[in-house]
Amino acid sequence: MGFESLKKNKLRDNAPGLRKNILIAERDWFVALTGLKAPVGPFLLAGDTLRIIGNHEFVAGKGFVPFHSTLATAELTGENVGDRESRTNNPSLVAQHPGLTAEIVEFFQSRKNGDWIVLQQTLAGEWIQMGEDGLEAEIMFSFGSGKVDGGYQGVTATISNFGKPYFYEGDILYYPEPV
Amino acid sequence: MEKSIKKSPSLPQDVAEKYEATIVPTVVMIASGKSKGSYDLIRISMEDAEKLANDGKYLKKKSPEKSSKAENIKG
Repeated sequence: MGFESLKKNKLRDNAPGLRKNILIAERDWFVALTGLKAPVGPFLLAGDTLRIIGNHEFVAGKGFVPFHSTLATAELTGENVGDRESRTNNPSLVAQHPGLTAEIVEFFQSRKNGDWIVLQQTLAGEWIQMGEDGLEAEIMFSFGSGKVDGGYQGVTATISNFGKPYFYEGDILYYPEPV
Repeated sequence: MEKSIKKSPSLPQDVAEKYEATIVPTVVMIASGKSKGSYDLIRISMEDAEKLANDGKYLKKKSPEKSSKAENIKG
């Protein structure tokens, strides 16, 4: 693996933003020890150290829970934290979910103390994963009613962790819903 | 809001006669292989079920013994 250059990819549309579905799964829902996949060597191509090509495996009856985020609000950002020569990443995803009801507040309230693995999809189709074994993501939330003459009524979820953003290329299983 | 008793998700009846799911039926997004695409195992067609089973993804053909038992119960 090596970087001789990093040229502009003229074929890529490079539209900004994230698609509407954010997927979250509790760390304990993955099969113990082997269920949560990570990049595996040999890393032959540039970018391979951040690519997860295996399929995440869940214990029976678990999977990724999708929640809707309003387009034009979901944004993933990342910055370095720490001191010089000892830095790591601190990616952060902010997304708004419309509505202020008991179901919506309960959804986020019951998730604020969990350890999460989170997937979000770019417009080009890549799934970016936040969270890894031992460096899971945290989901915090705030809510607002908006005002009668403007604003937004809903929940703002802030998801962050310390670690690298990974690019997940495996299968995705949704949490099975009772019918 | 109308309340009803919910039951565990299952394969469509016709598919369940021939195939069994290796996971609790749900939406799956398969990233690669011959069956690449999104499927809802609760509403999957027989054609797609065959495709997934042949690709070894989340469905497998029932053994003849199990299939005949299912037919007997149905009959």
